[in-house]
Amino acid sequence: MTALLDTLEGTLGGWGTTLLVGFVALAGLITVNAMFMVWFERKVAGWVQGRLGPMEHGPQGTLQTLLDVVKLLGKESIIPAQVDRKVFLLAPVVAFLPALAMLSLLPYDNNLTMTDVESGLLLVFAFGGVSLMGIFMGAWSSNNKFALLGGMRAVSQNIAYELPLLLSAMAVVLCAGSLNLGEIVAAQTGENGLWFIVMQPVALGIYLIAATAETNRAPFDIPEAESELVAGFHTEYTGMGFAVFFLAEYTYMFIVCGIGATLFLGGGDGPLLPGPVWFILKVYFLLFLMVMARWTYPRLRFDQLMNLAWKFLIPLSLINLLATAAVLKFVEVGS
Amino acid sequence: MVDLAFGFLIVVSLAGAVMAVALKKVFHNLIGFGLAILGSAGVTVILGAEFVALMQLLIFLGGIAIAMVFAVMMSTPREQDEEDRSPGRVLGAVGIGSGFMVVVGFLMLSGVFPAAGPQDDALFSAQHLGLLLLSDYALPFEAISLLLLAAILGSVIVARRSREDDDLPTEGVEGV
Repeated sequence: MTALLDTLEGTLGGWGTTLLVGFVALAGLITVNAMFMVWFERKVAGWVQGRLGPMEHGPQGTLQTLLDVVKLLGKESIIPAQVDRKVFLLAPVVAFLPALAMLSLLPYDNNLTMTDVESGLLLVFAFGGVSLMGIFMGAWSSNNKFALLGGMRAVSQNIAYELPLLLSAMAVVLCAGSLNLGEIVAAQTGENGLWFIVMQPVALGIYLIAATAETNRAPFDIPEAESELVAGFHTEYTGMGFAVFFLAEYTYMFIVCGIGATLFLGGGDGPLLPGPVWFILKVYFLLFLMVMARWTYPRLRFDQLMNLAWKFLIPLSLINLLATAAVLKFVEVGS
Repeated sequence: MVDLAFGFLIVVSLAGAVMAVALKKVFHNLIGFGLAILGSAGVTVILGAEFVALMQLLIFLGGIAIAMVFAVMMSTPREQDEEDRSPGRVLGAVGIGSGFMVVVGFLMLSGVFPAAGPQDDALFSAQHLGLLLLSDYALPFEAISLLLLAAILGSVIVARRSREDDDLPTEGVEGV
């Protein structure tokens, strides 16, 4: 392993090696995460509904997604005649690429962040807007009313839920006194460290609900509600185009849960096991909650969705932010 | 390396800006706008103002460009051919744009905005900017929030009036 790295550094130089290793690691993480999540989701769905889920291939059906991937790769990519070709082909890429950048920002351990950015938290949210453009590009260029309706819904839903997402994260930022993800973790660990789930339980609840809506997951999956809109914004996508949108969705789930684990659950903090293991465990615990929500609650109607965001979550997160600021000031003056 | 990235980002911003005004379909213009914002945010990062760049991305791309998407909804459907823009409008836009460029260029050259030397990154940090907004620049900051409040109230009134004008019953209707 070390010998390999040395050879790489000899040929590419330190900078190139970092880029290559980071890229390969992220690509691996994205693929493995998506394959595991699809299997996991089907398994949990089975258990929730008193079924077994996939059982045929491998122990407990673990090889099922691998075979699904092979099938998907072999499928023909159909480009409908009336689409806006350039935008149509570009859309999955624009939706997916920000995920790569966002993954490299997560603090997998106290000393293991691929790119340490001063305002890392904001960068993650900023890139979220870019991927939303990708979704809408796909919806508009498809020249299909279901796709366009799905895209419209995705945009208005994301605008509505971005506010509580940011505001709940800001309450944690106030507690930690930094926008740097590594420093937010550091504020929760060490001698007097306390995971922010203790100080900010309300923010955690708001964050999880808003994150589920931001990733277009059930019960907030109205942008792709299959019973009304066929498949929403990706109706016209087949083969690899569809696969890339699919991959992007599961990667964003990993990212929002990674940020959730960083903000509220102490990142890689935990006894015995090494940091990255703890981090991954926490992320998949949050992902498990998201999967359970999907198979527990029915899909919201569009007006219910908007009411929840604008009339409940946003006021609540504003009050939470104000209360946090007031308490912090009180403590500061008192001490 | 940095020079190369800087040049690339400048090219991206300019290409986006040209796309934003030259292409015929509104949605293509919007993509160009997004590209220009991305490029210039990158330039801002290289200049050392990371927080400002992030805010630019968050507000212009995540907010304004996405809000413009709603305008796209009302644009001409794909099957119909768009009309050419009238020469009067094009001339007017060129006039306003170049006028703005002349004013900004004059201000920059006349030394009102001096060329920045190597500076402390902390000058552009969130803490420093936040403190400035609540101390030295408190009045403009409050004025802007007042403006935003007026805009929000205005949009609520507009939305409510159009709803009252409808003959459709507003109560007891399922869904939207």
